[in-house]
Parts: sequence; C-alpha cells; structure tokens
Amino acid sequence: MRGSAWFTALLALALGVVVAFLAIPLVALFTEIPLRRIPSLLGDQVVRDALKVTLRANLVANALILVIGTPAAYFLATRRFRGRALVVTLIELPLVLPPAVAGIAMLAAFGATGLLGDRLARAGVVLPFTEWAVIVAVTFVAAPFYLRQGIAAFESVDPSLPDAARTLGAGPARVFARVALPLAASGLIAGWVLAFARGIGEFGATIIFAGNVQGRTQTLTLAIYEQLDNDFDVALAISILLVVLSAGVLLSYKLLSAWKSSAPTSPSAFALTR
Amino acid sequence: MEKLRADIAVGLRSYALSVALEVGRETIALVGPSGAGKTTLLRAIAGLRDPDAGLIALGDEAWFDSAAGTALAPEERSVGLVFQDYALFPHLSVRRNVEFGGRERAAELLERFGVAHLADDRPATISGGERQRVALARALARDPAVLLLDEPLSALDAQTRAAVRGELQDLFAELDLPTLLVTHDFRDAAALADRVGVLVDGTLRQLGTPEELMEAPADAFVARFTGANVLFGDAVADEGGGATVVLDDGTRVAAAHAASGRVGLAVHPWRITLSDTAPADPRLNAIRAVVTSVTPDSGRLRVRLGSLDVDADPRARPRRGDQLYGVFEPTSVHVVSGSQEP
Amino acid sequence: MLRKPFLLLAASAALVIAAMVPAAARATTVYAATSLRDVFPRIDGGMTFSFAGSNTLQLQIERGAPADVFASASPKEPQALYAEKKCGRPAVFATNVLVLIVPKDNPAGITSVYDLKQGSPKRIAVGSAGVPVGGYTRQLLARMRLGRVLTQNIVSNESNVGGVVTKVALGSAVAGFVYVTDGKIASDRVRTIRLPTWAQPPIRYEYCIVQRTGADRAGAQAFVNKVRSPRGRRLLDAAGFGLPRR
Repeated sequence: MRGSAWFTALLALALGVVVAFLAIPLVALFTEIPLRRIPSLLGDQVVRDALKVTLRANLVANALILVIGTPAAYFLATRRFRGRALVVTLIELPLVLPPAVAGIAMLAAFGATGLLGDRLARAGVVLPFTEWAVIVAVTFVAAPFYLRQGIAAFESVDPSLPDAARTLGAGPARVFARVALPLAASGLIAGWVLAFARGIGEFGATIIFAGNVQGRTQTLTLAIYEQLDNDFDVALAISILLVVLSAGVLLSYKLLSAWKSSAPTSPSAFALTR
Repeated sequence: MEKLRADIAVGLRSYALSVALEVGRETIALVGPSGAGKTTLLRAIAGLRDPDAGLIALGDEAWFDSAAGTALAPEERSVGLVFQDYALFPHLSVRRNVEFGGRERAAELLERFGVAHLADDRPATISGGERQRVALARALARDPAVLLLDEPLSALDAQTRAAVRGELQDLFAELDLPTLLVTHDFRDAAALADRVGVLVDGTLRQLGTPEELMEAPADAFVARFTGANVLFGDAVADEGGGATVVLDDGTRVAAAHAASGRVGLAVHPWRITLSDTAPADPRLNAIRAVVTSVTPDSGRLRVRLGSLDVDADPRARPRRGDQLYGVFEPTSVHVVSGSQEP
Repeated sequence: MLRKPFLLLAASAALVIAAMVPAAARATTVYAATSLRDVFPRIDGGMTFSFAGSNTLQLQIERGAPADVFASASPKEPQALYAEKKCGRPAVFATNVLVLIVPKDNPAGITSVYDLKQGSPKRIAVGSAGVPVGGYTRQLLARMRLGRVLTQNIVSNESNVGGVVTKVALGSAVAGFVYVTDGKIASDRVRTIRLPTWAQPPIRYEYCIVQRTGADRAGAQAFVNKVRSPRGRRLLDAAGFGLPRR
C-alpha cells in the first residue's frame, strides 16, 4: 500500500540520519591516523601516567562506592521514612548536574578556602592537586549511577524471601548478606559497570577541583584535553583507547543485563507448574 | 509443648481484625473469604507484622504485648512459617534452603520429606509438590514450637492436592505441635484440622470441630462456608417442638428445631435428594425448581436446582432444564439467625 | 487525526532549519590571549571576544574558526598562521613580564621564587608547556637554573593564564607564574612577587588580521587601529603592559 510504504521510508530515513550522525565521528576517529602508530603513541610517558592515575583513582573510587553505596542503597530500598523521597532526589542530583558545576561545588566544599576545606587545611589535609581530589570527583559523579541501580535491584527482590529468612531465625544482617545481596547481585553489578564507565569519562569536575597535575591528577580525559594543543596524535591515540574501553564497558553491561533478567528473584518463577 | 495464645487487634484497610484464640497441641484451620485477615493473623504471630494492640504469647513467653511494649522480632520467636508460594531461596540449592533454618536437622528432614534426592537441585527445577515439601522441611529445620501454614494446598493441582492432604494429616499428627493453618477451602480445613475457625471481615464467627460447624453453624456465613445452602424466610414455632418457615418465594419448609421470626435455614447439599415427583410423605420438605447446571465431582453430581446446590447420586441422571423436586428431611434443616441476609 | 503529528514534525523541522541559517551581520570577532581579557574590552567594547590560550586559538583559526583578528601573547602563533597564509603579516603591539603570585594570605609563606626550590613539595600552578605563559615560565626558570622547581613540586598545568590565576586565588595552589598584568587584575585576591629582570624572556604580543572568506577586514583593521592609537596605548600601559616604540 502506498501510504504505509511512504511512512516506512520516512522512518528509515530518520534512522539513517541518526546512525550516520553517531557513527561518523567514531569512524573518523579510527581513520584519522594509521592505526599501527597507536601502540607507540600510547607508550608516551604522558599516556602512561594518565593511565595509571585513571586506573588507580577509579579503582579506589569504585571500591568506596561499592562498600559504602551498597548498604546505603539497601537501606533506601527496604525502609520507608519521612523525607525518603528527598534523600533519593538528592542522591540522583549529580546525574543531571553539569560536571563543571560539580567541580565548583567541590571546590566550595573542599577547596583550600572552602566550607570543610578550611578546617581540613588546618589539620594538614589539602585536597586540590592530589589524587584524592580525583577520587572525590569521580565518586561524586559516579556514585548516583550505582545507587540508583542498587536501589532498584534490592527493591526487585521478592519481599517474601527476606520475610521467610527472618522466620527461619536470620537477623537483619544475615538477611542482607545471605538473601538480599545474592539476589540483587546481578542488578548491583550492572549498576556498578555504569558507575565505572562514568568515572573513567569524568572531566569537568576533575579539572576544576583536582587540577591538571601529570602523574597525580591528570586522568586520560584531562590528558586528551592538554595534548589537543600540544600533540594532536597523542590525543587521538588516547581517544581511541577510551572508545575501546567504553565499548568494553557497554558490552559488559549488556551481558550482565541479559544474565539479570534470567535470574529468578520473583515468585513468577514458581508459577503453577508440575 | 506450650500453648499459643493470640488476642490481637489489627487495623486493616476496610475493617479491623480482632481475634482471640488459643492453640494447644492441635491443628486449627482458619477459613474465610480472601481478605478476611487470615494471612495478617499468621504474619502477626510470626512477627512479620505488629498488631495495633493485644497479646501474643507462647506459654509464659510474651512475643508481643502492647501493654508492656514487648515486640519480639521474627528471628527471636520459635515459629516456622510455610508461605503460600513457599518463598524458597532461588539462589540456594534445596539442601542449603533447608539448612538455612538449621544445619543439624537438615539431612534428617530431607530424608523424612522424601526430597533427599533433590538436595542439590535449585527450587526452580523441581515440581510444586516437591517445593512444598522442601518448604515444610525448611520451616521445621528450626525446630519451631509453633507451625504456621498459609494456604498450604492452594498452589497445587488437584491430583497433588489430594496426596498432599494425606501427607499433611500424617505430619501434623506426628509433630504434635500447635499448628495454625489458613485456607479458603472448608473441605481442606475439615480434612487437616482438629478445629476450624471461620473468619469473616476480621472477626471469628465460630471456632469448633468441623462437625460442630456443619451441624450447628453459628450463623449464615458459617453455614455457607461449610457448603450449606441458606434460605431465608419467616418462622413460626409449631406445637411439635419444631417450626414452619415460609420462604420468601412462598414455599413452606418444616424445620425440626423451634424458631421464630426472621431466620436462615441451612441445608447441606448431600442431604437433598432429587425426584421427579413430589414426595409421598407430607412431612418431607420439597422444593420444586429447574435444573440449571450439572457438574460431575468426585463420583457424584453437583446439581444446581434453582437456587439450591444439590449433591446428587449420578444414577438420578438429572439434565439441564429438567423440572425436579429437591427433597429433604426437617431434621436436615439447621436454623441460623436471619440477620446476615445479603 | 493523522495530520497533527505530521504538522508537528514539519513545524519542528522548519524551526531547526531556520536556526541553522547563520545569523546576519555579526560584530567583528577578536580571538585574543587570555591575558588581554581585561584590557581589550576597555579598548573597544563592541567587539565579540574569544579569550583562550594563544596556542588553542591558533589551532581553532587553522580549522576555520570565524575570527577576524588574532592577538597572541607570543610571536610564534601568528607567524605560523602567516606562514600558512591564514592571516596577514603580524605586528607587535605590547610586551609583558612574568611575576610570581601567591594567595592573599600566603599560606606557604613564600617571599621569593627561591623559596620554591627548597622545603617540602608545594602545590604550584603554571601554564602548560604549549601555551605562551607556560613556555615563558619554563624559559625563566631555566635561566635562573631553577628547573627543579617544576620537578620537585606538585605542578598543575593549566591551559591558559586565567586558570593559573584562579588556582592561586582559590588557594588550590600556593604559588603560580603569571604575567604582571594578571597580578594587577587579581590584586584583591593574590599578592605579586617580582621576578628578576635579567631572567625575563622576551615577551612580545603580536596581532594579525585573519584571512579567510567572509572575514570582516574593515572591522578588523578598525580594531587594530584602536589598539595602536594613543588611547589604546594608554589603556595598555595602565594595565601594566609594556609598549613597543611607535
């Protein structure tokens, strides 16, 4: 029928434009310089320092997010209290906050003359220009990703299971460790993967709060920014590295989501069957 | 072995649950329509939900006492609860599920319930009946002083149900624990329990043996719940110690017990026989109506005759559309208060 | 009924296309080094300014950015563009010197640049190697044989001199190398420490008029004339710049 053929063509055109728009820059990245030069460019000291800083800071930040964020997400998922909606909104705020704003906010709080920074400075602790500043910046922007997914993961656990555990003699801590956590695990990990990706890509807050100190606070993204004006080829090489890394992260996320949807957490898995 | 006492009030959405009962070394089944508060009561006893007021105690140990401000957490109460959907931990094997309640007794319980051969399987891979046995084993692994079961037979298909009913009867007899179970099916309750309580809109209408409930229902609700037909009419006592009741449609029914005023008459389906002709004996009651449905049920026929449910002999061969008489003795009629008319 | 969504789609498409039509009659655009951010608008407030590190601006102009005038803190960038025939012959219009700045309260108690080569590592901010102020800083430190200042302290490389000023003003860094003109701009938040004249590298600001299709040559020339006029020179002098001979 002519009418529907037209419409389908229009839809296909729209899709084509979208795909081209998103794909062309990525393809251009890989064709700008001969790919065989990449390994040697990545061997540059700037890149190696940036890689070390990025990996170290992100590992620490992610460890913090996991250790502190998991109980926090569990609390929010399992308790209802006054002001809960406000707390959840606050936690989600960094998701929509421009990273530069986050950076300035952190300066205002932890900078040498900031709200807490002043006190910290007198105690001998100064955050700007240190790797801890990078960790703080990364944690700030990445934690909400984990927390939001974590809350959803814990909420998706069938409530009759923790109930059953308690009637079997398990106290709240044991219920968390033996029942809630294992059942929410796949959702938690998927959330962590997203947080990890966000942390790796963090730029605005880091450059404003932590500064650009090679070997200490210059992450891969900051290195790209600096090398843009110095050695464009190095910037390109780092960009390609990050694209590969991001693609890997995205793939892991997809695989984990597929695993999560097949994991039984709800009684529907026990529907009337023989 | 201690007695379980529960005397509580819980505010629910459309009414308040207010129940007082004692469970000794026996099995009590609570029946009633969905939403009557049966599951809420179980959860309150287990400690998963605190009543607004009252007392729950096992012997001298108060589990919940609103006056004293005591409220023990579920893990501090010696209770075993078998959930309606069993709530088996999907990420643990059958063995680990049972061990969750208590490791020492796990092996023995797996054997006793005949699921030892499934010990390493996950709950999702075993059948409904097997899951229930695992759930029972798990609840008992804790060696509880009280056993609670929420609709133990509802999730099973008809065949498994019959088998499980028998197994549960044996189990309860053997365990000898205060056992409280909840079901919406009176026949299951009658089969499994020593006493049955009918819970409607949050209050216990009657608590007694199944026979008591059938022979002497406290009101129209209970009567209907045990499966009886309930007909409403106005009664006038007669000289012979019985009563004549004029039903709303004009039919006269003789009851063997004295009564007067607005009453409900409860007649069990199996007390009614079908006949094409009016009975010769004038003392017998007969109600004439059209057969609207005939359903085979466990070797008998469930016949809907007008507004009556009749449990008929299949040899009578009633057919839809037949005009028949439903015949029953005055002694089969139980008089209940007419105040629960719909 | 089917009409409405299509109408909406058509309307949005029209809006998008309209927005893409380049705005007519833009003001003359001046791409200038960050250190000129305060004085240039005083010379002519009607221009459209874009301030950044001179090396960044050079790259942008090479890629076709819509600049009409390019004013750099060093000769290197305009000369490179001139060689690429992307702008006209460059000419000097100002000079500058480097100073050391510290936060107003001077938490590290620095009184001279030599304080940076001893003691525990300090947090200092400098321009990154590719930007003029960063190059000049490294030249100055090399002349004073203070290269170790950059290796034994914690050094943040900023993309332009404004970034250095900000880091020191906020106390993130306890010292930074900027132009004397920046020290004046931020005098309420930082303290300036002079550096020896003999160590100063020659700092020459050069401009050139950008050559590209659609460039506003007339406007560019007019702006440049204002910069070189007696009034412009007075303003530059007041800001702390040095002036070339007329």
